Amino acid sequence: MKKILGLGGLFLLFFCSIMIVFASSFEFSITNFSLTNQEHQAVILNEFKEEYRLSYKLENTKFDREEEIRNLTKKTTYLLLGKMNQESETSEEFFLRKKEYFENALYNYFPKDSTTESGYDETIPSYIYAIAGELAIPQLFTQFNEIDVDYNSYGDIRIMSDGDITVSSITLEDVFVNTESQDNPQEYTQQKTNLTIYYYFVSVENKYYLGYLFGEMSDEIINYLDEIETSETQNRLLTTSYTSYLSNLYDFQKLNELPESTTTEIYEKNKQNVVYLSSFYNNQITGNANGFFITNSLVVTNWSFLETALQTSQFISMIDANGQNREIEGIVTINIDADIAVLKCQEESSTSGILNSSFPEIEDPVFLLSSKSGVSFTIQRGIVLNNNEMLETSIPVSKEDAGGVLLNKDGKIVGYISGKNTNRSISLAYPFEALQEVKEKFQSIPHESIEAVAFDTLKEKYYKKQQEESIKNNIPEKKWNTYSQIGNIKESISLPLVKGSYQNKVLSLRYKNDINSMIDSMDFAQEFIANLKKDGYEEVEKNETKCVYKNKQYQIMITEEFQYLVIVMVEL
Amino acid sequence: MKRKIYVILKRYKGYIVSFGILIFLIILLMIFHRAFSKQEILKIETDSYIISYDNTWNITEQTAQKVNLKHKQSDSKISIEIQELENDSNYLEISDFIEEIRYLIETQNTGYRLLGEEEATFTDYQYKGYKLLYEQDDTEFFLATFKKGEKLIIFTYEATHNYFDILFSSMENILYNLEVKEEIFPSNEKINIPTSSIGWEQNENLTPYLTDVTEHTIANNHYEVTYTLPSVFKQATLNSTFHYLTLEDVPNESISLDVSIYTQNIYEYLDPEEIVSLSYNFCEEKEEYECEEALEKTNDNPLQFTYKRTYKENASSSKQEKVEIITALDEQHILIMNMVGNDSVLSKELIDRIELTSITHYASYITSTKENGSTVAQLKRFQDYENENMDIVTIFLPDKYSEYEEGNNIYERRYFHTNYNEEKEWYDYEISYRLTAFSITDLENEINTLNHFFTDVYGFKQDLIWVEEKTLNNKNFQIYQGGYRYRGGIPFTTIDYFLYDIHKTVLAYAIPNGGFLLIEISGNDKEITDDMLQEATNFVIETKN
Repeated sequence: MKKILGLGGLFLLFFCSIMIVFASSFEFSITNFSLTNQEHQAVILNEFKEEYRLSYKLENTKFDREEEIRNLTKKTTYLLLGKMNQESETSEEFFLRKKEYFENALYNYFPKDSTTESGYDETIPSYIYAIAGELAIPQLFTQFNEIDVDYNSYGDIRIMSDGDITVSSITLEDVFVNTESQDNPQEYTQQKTNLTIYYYFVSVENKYYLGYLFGEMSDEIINYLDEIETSETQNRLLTTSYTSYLSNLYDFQKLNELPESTTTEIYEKNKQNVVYLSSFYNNQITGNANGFFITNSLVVTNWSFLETALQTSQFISMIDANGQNREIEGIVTINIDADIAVLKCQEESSTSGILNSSFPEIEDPVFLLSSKSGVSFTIQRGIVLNNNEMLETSIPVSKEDAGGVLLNKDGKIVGYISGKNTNRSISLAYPFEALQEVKEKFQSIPHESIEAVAFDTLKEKYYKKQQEESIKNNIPEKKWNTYSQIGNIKESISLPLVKGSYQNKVLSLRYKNDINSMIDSMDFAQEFIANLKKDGYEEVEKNETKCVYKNKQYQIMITEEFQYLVIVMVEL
Repeated sequence: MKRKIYVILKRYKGYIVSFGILIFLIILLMIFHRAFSKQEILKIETDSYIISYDNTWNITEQTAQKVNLKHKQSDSKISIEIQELENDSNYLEISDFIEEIRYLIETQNTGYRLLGEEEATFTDYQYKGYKLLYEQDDTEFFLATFKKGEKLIIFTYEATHNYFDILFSSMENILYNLEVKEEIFPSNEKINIPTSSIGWEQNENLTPYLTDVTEHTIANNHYEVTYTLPSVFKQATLNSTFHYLTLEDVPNESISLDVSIYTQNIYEYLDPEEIVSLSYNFCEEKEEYECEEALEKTNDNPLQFTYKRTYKENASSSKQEKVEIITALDEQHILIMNMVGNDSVLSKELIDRIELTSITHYASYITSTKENGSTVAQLKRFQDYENENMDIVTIFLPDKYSEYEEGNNIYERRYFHTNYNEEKEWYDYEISYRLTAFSITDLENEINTLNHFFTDVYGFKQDLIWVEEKTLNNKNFQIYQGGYRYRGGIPFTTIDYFLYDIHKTVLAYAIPNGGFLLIEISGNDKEITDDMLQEATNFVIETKN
């Protein structure tokens, strides 16, 4: 019995000795992950006076066939461009794809009328999509298949609908297209870009068909927006408008008929009301947005800009159209649903924006008064494409335009720009009604009586700073004496060591680059690398953030991660 | 003392031996483990993802949306979650999510210290996302998140600091090799093209003439195809976009061949319902006239079909033979070689002498180069019916002119433009060069052809009329002038509607070997200057074999 117990104990020891138990396990999981969770944002509302609460929200009436359109968008994209990741396609597959693509064209199904010039029933306004599609549908198919779009996911889909006509856009990021090589036009070269395709689906007898479509490479829009930014000059108003394939479907006549002086008049009426905001961290700009005076004391900008600033910046500055700095006293209130942050200026303005009294009509001219550079302001001209709750306009915007004010031809506010749908030829704006509540609540409150919460207070309370990390080093001294000879690492790396460990002939060292975040952490390893090479180590791998060296005894991996330099040495 | 130890050893001899064997086995196990454990890359694939990982990790949980891995030698863990976004959220960008994620981490795990956060790109496809690094006591936690279409990917890695950096590289390999699949829409329909073997007859009369071959090049729709066929087939003109060859100097035989490139899928062309198609059901309508036809698939790479038809118009008429070879250059381009024999048998021997020698896909046919401040381009054509010598015209334009592609040709036309007008979004001036066939003698007829493109719909048209003979750059030109009014803006609408005049000047140069070089200058709402005439007429002509 004793022998059995004794042997049993030994076997237990055997199993324990080959089981490796290092540290206690740690459970972590993101439970109940809800991506629309805005509880933490709502908590911030408690900081502001209750009577300042803003209740306006978009009705968010969901388009009941959104799922159908979403699937139709994906399918049409597949039929138009082919398989993802440039998977090979036979002639047979191509033929079937093309056939199905054309089968869904509106012009096959739109009611005809042989007495009209177009051949379609022109009493139905959407006939224009059938005409436009006759050319666009085959043309785009040939063009896209000639340039061989290589895409790897369906990307963002955005849908705006008024029931009969639904515009769906899909943005495919980082696609490759064949273009003529600059050096040799006969050769193809691959260009990486983002491709946005706009589909106009029209309902006929309750089924959606493809009426019209056009594609847009991100470079066209980005070049246009960059050009505005570089052209903004102090004391000079820049006026510009973007022409896209939208002009095939919408009438820009009301806009084009306006006299040249309109933009100057609009600017003169509103230039004292607009501001440009920047957030800073360590004197570096971390974000920009636009804003405007809704009352003489208060400036409205996007909450999304302010929230990012609270997370990443130390303070926000504001300048007006004259380049004068305007001190911000604090934040008065926010409306998360309407993406509004209301800021109080220390000094009152002499004027404020005038709200329009009615919703703009489709094809009404609109003007975006904003600044991209902070040097001066630009007026971008366009028209309203859709006014189904949020305003859809033909004015391309960048993230810097968020908070910018949208004006009608009389210089009155019809909306303000959201940070969504940027870098495309269709942008979104919140309607002026979201601002009416702000105006009504605050315009009769005297300036000195308006209470504001300081930026620092909100930041301190809700947005945590980074804390000091713990220094841990469990490398046995004997091992360190051996490994520290490699590349003379002790002397050749001047960064502080924050983590060191040794396990199973693998030694890892983590150094923190707290000297200068503008210098790559890898640069601090150059002397060490030079020493390795001198000692006969061969380079096995090298790129911007990682390199590996080896000799018969050790393999050394040097990587850069966050603000750290990490070196792992393995005894072979 | 020694004796005591001896007694103990003797007493527990069995245990000591067993223990010794045990230690030996453990050492042996470790040696074998180290010697034979190679790093292997393993893969798991589902409808929604592919995950590659090395064999130091084990899968501990796997569902359609989630995979958990645990390191074999430590307690380190990796979790990969692929979340399908709600419709309200799926058009948001990753930057819209990161705050939510941080908030959830920090509220669910108090005491976590944020050590680092940065933007990053992930996988070979460079999806934009974020990386976060936290620590708490002995444990470190890494999170990477990115968005692909309507899916949000959350990748987490946790380990004690002893292992965190050591396993980081292995973890990164898993992260960067992660593939998230998207649904595709394959078609289930199959195409049904009826095929059968072609019956061939011999034609011994032709055999002696099939030995020598000549190479021809055709180019259209961004393709250039070179093929060889018996030298007895000759072209009347050097037309790069369409070949028409006839059998010459072979008694009692009448055979022609036309060659073209279409932008069409091969199955579209074979589909009888298409407007431009092979129409291989011809004999169904012509049964009573000895009509026979067959369509055969003759090659897989490139995909090729051959169609043969023989019939008579009526009992007394000659027998027509047609052989059409359709080759798929790619999914949307086909080469069609259509041979017709009037009372001539098209034998297999003849058809087999037609060979495709090269197929090239071009981004454009722009071949001009910039040399010493000039844009240099060439046109060429046959000098005679023998197709042995060519006229090469080399044009020298100031380099403010750039070539553009209009007609997909490589021999007989070139197009240039200059002065880009930002406001109107067009070029103010365009110049085209066209080299006619050597056989063209009627210049007026060529000019009249150009007049067909003019329109008077917008109230003004002036046909090209002879103005003068002029010497430019030591050459004599006949000068014609005209123009017409045209509209800008969107067709069929009044959007952006405006009218403008297109001014035309055509300079015709008679080439010594026959035919003409026609230089057509257009001014879009601009008059054409004398300087332009000088610039446009700087060229040399030489003969080449």
